[in-house]
Amino acid sequence: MAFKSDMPQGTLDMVILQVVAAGRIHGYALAQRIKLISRDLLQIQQGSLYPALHRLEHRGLLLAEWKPSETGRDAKFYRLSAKGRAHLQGETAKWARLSEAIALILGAREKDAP
Amino acid sequence: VNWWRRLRNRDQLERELDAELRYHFERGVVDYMRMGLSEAEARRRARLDFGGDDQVKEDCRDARGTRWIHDLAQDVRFAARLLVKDRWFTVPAAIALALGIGINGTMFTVVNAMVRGLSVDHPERLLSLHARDGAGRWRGHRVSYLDFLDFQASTRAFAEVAAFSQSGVTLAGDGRGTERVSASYVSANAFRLLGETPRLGRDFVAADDQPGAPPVVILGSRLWTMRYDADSTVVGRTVRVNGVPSTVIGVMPDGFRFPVVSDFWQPLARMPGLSDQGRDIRALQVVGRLGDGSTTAQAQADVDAIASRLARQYPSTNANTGAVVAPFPGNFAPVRMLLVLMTAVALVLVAGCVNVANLLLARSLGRSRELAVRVSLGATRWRIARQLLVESGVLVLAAAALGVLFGVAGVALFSRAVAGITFPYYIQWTIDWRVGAFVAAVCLVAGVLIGVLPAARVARWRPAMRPMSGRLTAALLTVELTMTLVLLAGAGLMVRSFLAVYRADAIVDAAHVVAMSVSLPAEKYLTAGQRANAYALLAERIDAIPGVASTAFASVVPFGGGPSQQLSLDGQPHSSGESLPTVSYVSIRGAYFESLGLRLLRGRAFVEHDAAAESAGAIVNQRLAAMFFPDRDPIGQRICLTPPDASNRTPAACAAIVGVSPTVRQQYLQEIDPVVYLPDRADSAELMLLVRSDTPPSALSRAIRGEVAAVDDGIALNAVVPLDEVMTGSRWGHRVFGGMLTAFAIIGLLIAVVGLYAVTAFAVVQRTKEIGVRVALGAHSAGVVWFFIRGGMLPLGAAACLGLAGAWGIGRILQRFLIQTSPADPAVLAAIVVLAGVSFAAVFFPARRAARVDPIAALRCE
Repeated sequence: MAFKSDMPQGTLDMVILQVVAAGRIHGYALAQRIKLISRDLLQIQQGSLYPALHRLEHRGLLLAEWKPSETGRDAKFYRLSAKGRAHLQGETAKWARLSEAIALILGAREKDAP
Repeated sequence: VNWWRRLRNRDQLERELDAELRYHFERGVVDYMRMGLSEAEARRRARLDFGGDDQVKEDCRDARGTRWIHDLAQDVRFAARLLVKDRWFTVPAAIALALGIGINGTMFTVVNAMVRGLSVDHPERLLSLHARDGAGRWRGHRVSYLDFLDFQASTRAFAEVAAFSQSGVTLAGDGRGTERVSASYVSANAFRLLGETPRLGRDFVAADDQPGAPPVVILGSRLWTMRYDADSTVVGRTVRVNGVPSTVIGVMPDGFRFPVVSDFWQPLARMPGLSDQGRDIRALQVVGRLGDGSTTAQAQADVDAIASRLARQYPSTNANTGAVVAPFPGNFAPVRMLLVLMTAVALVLVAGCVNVANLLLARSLGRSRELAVRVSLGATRWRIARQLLVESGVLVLAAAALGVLFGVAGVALFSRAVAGITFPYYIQWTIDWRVGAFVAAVCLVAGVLIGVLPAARVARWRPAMRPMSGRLTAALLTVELTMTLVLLAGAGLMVRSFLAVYRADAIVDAAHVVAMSVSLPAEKYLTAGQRANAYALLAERIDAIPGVASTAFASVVPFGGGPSQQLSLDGQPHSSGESLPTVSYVSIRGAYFESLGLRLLRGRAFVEHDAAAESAGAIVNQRLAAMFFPDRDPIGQRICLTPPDASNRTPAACAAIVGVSPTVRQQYLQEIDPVVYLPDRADSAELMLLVRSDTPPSALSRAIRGEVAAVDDGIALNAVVPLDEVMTGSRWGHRVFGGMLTAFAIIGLLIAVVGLYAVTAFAVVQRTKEIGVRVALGAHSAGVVWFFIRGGMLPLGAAACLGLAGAWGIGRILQRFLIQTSPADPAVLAAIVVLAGVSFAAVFFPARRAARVDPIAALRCE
């Protein structure tokens, strides 16, 4: 099963922030990295990636600058701002609580089942 | 968020977006080629991954959060283009709105100036203190000196209580001539209470305000500039004030003329006879500043307690006297009149808005096809409604800019119209922040009124819908016309009242009379006999000036107000609770009626023995004679006058009527007032001099000054005023307010008529095709015209009926300001009907165009 662009917005934002947190990265590499880390489960369409990046940039969670990339051409690199880091921590904690709760509920149902 | 940067760097952001996406795409192509795909295939795959390039860009732009601004800018540009194109709609609409906004701005500036009070710290914490009788009625408004001292000593709610009294003074003895200036006596704390400090020298201190203290005075900035050429060494110099050498100790700041237009102040203790005044001589005006944390209610309770203590302590003078606090200085003009005028301008604005909304509605109908196309192409209704809202917004903004100009011009016009009237110094026709906020609010309301209605119509509109019914339009027109007719009725009543006074005043030949006050130095003319001699001498010398026809003295000039007294008929007892009719009284000396160009209607002029107490004579005016002796000969009847202060209700003066004069009013009240003339007994050292002459006032004034100085150069004359200025000036209330109401009503009528015309004309244009079909099918052109006339007649007829009812209503509201005019004045009501009839032209002419529609041409239009 592959998540497409119908992934909830907050989730996509969190994934992007998490990947960018590892270090300065441009859009193409970001897409590749997400694909790689999620073992191809998460294929993010550029159609949703770039608007999400721009939205995060304009919210001040990401900082952007133009720098020469590994191919030598200038690319737009994103990195986490202090605000973005705090936001990511908050979101991660929330996600962890949520998934724990869901796991508990799902586990309980399995146990109750005859 | 940094919207502004993003807006400004829009092009750069677009370039960056483009570069970023291209980088991504090309990296994708390279990677696919590395996987062994041909370049063409790699490009195809990369493009597929990417989705719609333009869609992504749009989404990125949306993510910027500035999208709506660009859309708005686009809407504004589009709206501006459309409005410029439809200038036959835009220009009248904008002017109608601008007039509405402008007169609201002007009127609010005037009202604001009249009610905002003094420009001191926390003016709302200043309260005036008045005396009143036990029944709660106002009685004279003033407070006696001893009562004032008690209030000052015992108050707990007020931080400070001050008293003042206005009185002219004669300045001399400083080498700058003899001059009469308007002045006041103030308690030493008055300026401190107001928060004003002298610009030069010092304020009064308590020691200055003691009986026997060395006389000190403070100058107003105006007097200091005019008499002393703004010489700062004037402080410490001596000037003779009513003959008493006094030291100048300070100069007050520019523009400060407390309480009304004083240019000169002395301590209250200098007021002649003050220390001898009993509690029944109520001569002082009192103002207090509330202490921290006190409220008006507490202040009222406080003065009530003090007043009832005084009533117990001094029953002979204070038994029926209470005290009442009121905002200081109170409203200058009657609140009701200001409310009527504010309502009038608001109605005119609403009429303007209704009109423009109607035109916009009609116009949005005319654009049915454009809107249908846009809706079919996927525009949301909200998007279209927004476009219309932006259109009306742009229109209102343009109108607001124009309206502010109109408003400023209106204020200039108003201050020109009232330039000759003496207003208290704190009334300045300035446009302050309150006016700005009000005008902004008015524009906002206008924008909402205009924009929302058509936009809401369109939001519910569907492409297949028939053009909307004219019912809403007709209802709006009816409201608009009704309001206008009611305004016109109000204006008509005010104008009728003004004309009634104008006609009554016209019997006095005021153009050839000048008036000035003469004051004899009190220290030199001690007895009535000495004063009478001086007046006689002055009259004799002035009469001898070539060109002077006659000379007279009077306690007040005609039309100039003056005291009023209660009148009773001798021998007719009245109960003490009964309120007696009040009449004006004037004491006269010399050829008073001749000087006004009048002849007594009956009886004779005063002779010497009329002034004697035992054989006193009086002349009454025709109005008084008609009121009190409708069926008797007034000559020989005895009348008695008592001061309005009921505490010493002893019949003061009874006199036999010896003559009846034509009616010349003193007051400017609801009716042309009854006046009693008594012979002057030279009780006062100050009288008004009236001189009748064909010589121009300036030359005459020089000649008179020469003669007066020849009699005694200690006699002060104030500026010479032509009597017609006094007469015109006294009518300013009706002239200015009636004029404003008339102007507002006419503007309203114009707006309404233009609206009626435009709506009818538009309906005809709108239905040209339908008319063509009807005519082609054999309809008579008269029938077609009638169809459109009927559409306009309905609102007009309804408005005429409602307008007549409203006219009666506004007559009731204005009744207090009407002079010899009935609230249901037939002439005014007839004028309403006539105007409604004339407005019919606004329906008839456009409707007639329907008859000229050529069926062939109309059908070929398609």
